[in-house]
Amino acid sequence: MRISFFHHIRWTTFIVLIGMVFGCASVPPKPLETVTPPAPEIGKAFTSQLLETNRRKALEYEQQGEFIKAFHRWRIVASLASDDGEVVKKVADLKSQIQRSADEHYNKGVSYYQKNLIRKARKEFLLTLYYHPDHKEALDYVKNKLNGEEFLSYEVKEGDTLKDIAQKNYNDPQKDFLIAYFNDLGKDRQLVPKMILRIPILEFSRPRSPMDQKELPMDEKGEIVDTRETLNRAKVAYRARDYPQAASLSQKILEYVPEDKEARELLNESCYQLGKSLGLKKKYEEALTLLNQVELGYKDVRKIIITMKKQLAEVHYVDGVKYFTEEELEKAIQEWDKTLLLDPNHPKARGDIENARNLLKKLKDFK
Amino acid sequence: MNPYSFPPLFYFILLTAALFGCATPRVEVLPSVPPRMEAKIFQDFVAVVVQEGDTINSLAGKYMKDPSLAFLITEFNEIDELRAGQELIIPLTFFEKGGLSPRGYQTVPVLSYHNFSLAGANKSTVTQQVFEEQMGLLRKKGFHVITIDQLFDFLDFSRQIPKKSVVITIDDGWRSAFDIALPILKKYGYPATLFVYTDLIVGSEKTLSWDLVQEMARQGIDIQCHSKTHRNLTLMGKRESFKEYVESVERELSECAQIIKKRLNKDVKYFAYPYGDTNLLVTHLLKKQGYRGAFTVKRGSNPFFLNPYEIQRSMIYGDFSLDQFEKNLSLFSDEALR
Repeated sequence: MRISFFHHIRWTTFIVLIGMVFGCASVPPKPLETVTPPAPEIGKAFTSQLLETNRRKALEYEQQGEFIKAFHRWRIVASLASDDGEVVKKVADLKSQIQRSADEHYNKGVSYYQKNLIRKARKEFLLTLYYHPDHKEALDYVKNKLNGEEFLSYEVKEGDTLKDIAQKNYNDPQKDFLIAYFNDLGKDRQLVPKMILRIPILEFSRPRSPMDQKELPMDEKGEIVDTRETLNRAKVAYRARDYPQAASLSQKILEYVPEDKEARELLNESCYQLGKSLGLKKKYEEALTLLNQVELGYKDVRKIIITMKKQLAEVHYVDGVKYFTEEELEKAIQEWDKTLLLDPNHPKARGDIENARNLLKKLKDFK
Repeated sequence: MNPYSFPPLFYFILLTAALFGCATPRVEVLPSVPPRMEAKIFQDFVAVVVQEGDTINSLAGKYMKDPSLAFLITEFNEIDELRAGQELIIPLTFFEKGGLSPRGYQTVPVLSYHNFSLAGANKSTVTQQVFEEQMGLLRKKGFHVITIDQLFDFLDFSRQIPKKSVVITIDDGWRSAFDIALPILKKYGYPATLFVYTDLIVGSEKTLSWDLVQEMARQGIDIQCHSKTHRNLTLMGKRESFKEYVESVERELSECAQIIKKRLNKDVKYFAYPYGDTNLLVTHLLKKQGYRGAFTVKRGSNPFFLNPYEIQRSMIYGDFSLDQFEKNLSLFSDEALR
């Protein structure tokens, strides 16, 4: 039988269609897929050992409380065995647990920082960074905020000059050049009201190394007394001329670290300034209470105390005279006794006491 | 037989075979055990089978693009050496920045040397033999001597460094740094930093000349500032006003940097305080002048959160025994965080 042209065409069409349906050179042959190790499974060929090693390590780290190391290992296990739903879930659970831990430690750190418990705060921020190494806020606390203030801010007021500002902050107008230097003020030194200046804290306020604080004292509640932070607060109070606060804080430090020279210096200076100021207001008793906390060799405190005692002695003497004129002889004697305690060489008190006692005796005899 | 009389099925088989056969790769007999892959790259790690000839450095170079990160491979896998066929994880991210763990944190010792001699030691002079022994001990105990830049990357919390990292510094600018220390440092391949006070660099019998300093820089020694005259920056002169004192300190910091820039065409970044002494005014001035950090001689190792302007260094005295030397190599503070 002769095959017609159309018949031939029919077969050719059929073959071409088969070729089109199954493709030609562009489709990889089916048999290769069945006998070659497929790409995703190639891992399985050599990672079984890795899988087991990392799974074992992950469990070990978990037992040791090294959750981050465990997490890294579980992630590897999950990547190597991506079809293991249990491991994938484990990784997700660990991830959220780690995030929660980072948040908790960060919040605790902020809370300790606000209470000036710097050492405790540092531990919490370090743990935050352990759980979440990219935690920028925790890093900022650890690297900057916990190391203490290095500059104070000062808002320029109408009419301020650099010398005024230096006087206010350093008690020394000659340090005006420092303020100009650190604020990039040119030669004209133009100050504008409400301008914020950075006032460098000098040696007096130098923050100490956190490595110095291995053993910190605890107060009666078991809370760590962070002497460095307390000292910084004392210095800030001193600069703001809040002498009572500066004295109180430095005294607190000395209770725990009696040899702390900076705290001793702050206590001396705060009590000295406060004492002098109260003396000028004739509040001699309060002034002397404060000046007696200053080391006797400090500045001219010995001389001031002697002078102030004489001034207070005179106050008591005058009070004694008032009582005497009001015929309250016993009260007068009490005041003059105080006078002699403060000024044993008072020119009149001793004689006046004797005179008052004689009068008292006569009065008793008369009665 | 008339060829046209072949049954249609014959044509079908023939043409189909021709069509598929021409463009199809040959189906080979495949091994029953799949071939072992060299590596598989994941998002933040690479799983690797060590091949013949691989080294830790070559793997770090190949997959991390930085052979100096080889320590990440050894530390992650807790291995000391490679063997062919070994399966490893190559981490592609830092996994322990700051060396933090719940048990404590990493600290980095910085050693401070001054002078060296062939024989005869004192507090600031170490003999050649002792220096050689100390460097040998670092090698034997597996220390990684890192540069100050690497130390500051650690302090900035931007990079992980080897757990057993140590920094070597030499102060002043004595000639023995070139004659004695440099050959030993080169022998071990250790980086080091020379802090010079520029007034000392006069090229006398005992001091370095600028030619020698340049030669040391060419040989890889990092040259940094140790002031101009070596005055104690924390002490105000009896006849100085406060302003004169501040200006003098400022000159000590700036002129030293300018001279090094002029002689070595190098911008310095680090400062070693003369006598190791500093105060807040000096650190304010250093920051203002753009220094990245500064070194005291307060003995101790450095955690990442230490003030970078109060880096601690341990002075190595000439009469130290090797045991005493080793006590200055503290690598971890076991101040438990939890």
